[in-house]
Amino acid sequence: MAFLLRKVDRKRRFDRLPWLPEAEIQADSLREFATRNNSLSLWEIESDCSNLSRIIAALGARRDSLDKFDYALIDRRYVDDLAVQLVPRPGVSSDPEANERWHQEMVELSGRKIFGLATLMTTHAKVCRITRRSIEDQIRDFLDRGFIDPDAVSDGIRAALER
Amino acid sequence: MSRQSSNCTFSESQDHGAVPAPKVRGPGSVLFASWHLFRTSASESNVALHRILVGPQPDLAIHRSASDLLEQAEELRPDIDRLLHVATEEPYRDGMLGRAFDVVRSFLAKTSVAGVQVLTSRLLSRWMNDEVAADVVRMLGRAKHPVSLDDRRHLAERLLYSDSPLARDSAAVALADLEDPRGIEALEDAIAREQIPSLKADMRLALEDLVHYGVSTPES
Repeated sequence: MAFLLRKVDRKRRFDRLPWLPEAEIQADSLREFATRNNSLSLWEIESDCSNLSRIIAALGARRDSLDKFDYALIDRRYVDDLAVQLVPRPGVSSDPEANERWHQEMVELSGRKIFGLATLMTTHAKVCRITRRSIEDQIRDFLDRGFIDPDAVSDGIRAALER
Repeated sequence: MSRQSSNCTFSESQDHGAVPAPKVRGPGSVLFASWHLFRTSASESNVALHRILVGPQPDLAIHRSASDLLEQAEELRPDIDRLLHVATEEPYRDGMLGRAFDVVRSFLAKTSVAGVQVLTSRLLSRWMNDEVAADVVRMLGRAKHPVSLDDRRHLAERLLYSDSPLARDSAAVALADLEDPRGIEALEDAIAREQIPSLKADMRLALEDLVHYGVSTPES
């Protein structure tokens, strides 16, 4: 059972709020699924989550600064039920191997499918947070282990790690 | 082992009730004004501030500080308007220091403590967009400006009482980012009254960070 990871900007958009009818989603949650060229970037996570920290660190290392990291993790089978096309394409992170192995793009997305995905994510995904301190530890760890390319780490992160 | 919020579970039914009014802490005039301004509109704010601080009060020091603040408020209005405009145009994104953050940093660089207090009163006004207030408090939490640390902490503590879950969340993260252990008590209180389970868990995560990494001389 593999998972798909989607980085989110505002975790609160996935909360169940008291005014929200059962089985409905916050309208704002759709903003977490902004497409480009009708495609959406996702990362494949192994069934034992063995690559989860690695991908989070790789994404965190490309940001301007160390900060918390929020993400949604969903069982891939739910997404398969949506009948959307997932295509392996190189990702953009600081881990070259991860970019080739685990990045997927959801392509040819219609508005209905995005709504379906947002609904799935709200009702079935784990929405998690990693603190800034933990991200820092993970980036250091994967740099030391040679998974993160030092040249692909942002200047801001490099400076923060040197402090 | 990375620490994650304990709400990393599949979605559950959540509920949140009314948020009680904030407690007023400390005798400071600006603190008292901020509490009142929490409940007043931007347009009312100067009048309210004047009534509270410049009204028939015998304390000349309070009178003087209120006058100064009102004067500062007028002087800083264009800068604060610009800051809020940019923050509205470019929402804060975790880890990304965009134009809005640059504007916040340059505002802090050129302003005094009073400037941060004036910004605070705007952010706490009832007309402020919750999302913008949430973003600005996050940026203020991340900025280095030791002289205004107390005011930025007070702002975050007050936003813990916001009706907006997003603002409460950002306030909790900002308190952790400020690394000022004086914010622990307010965060503990916020956790105790929080009704949304996943937000409560994220606040606990912020508290854990603050307890572990809070330093007695933050931002030094």
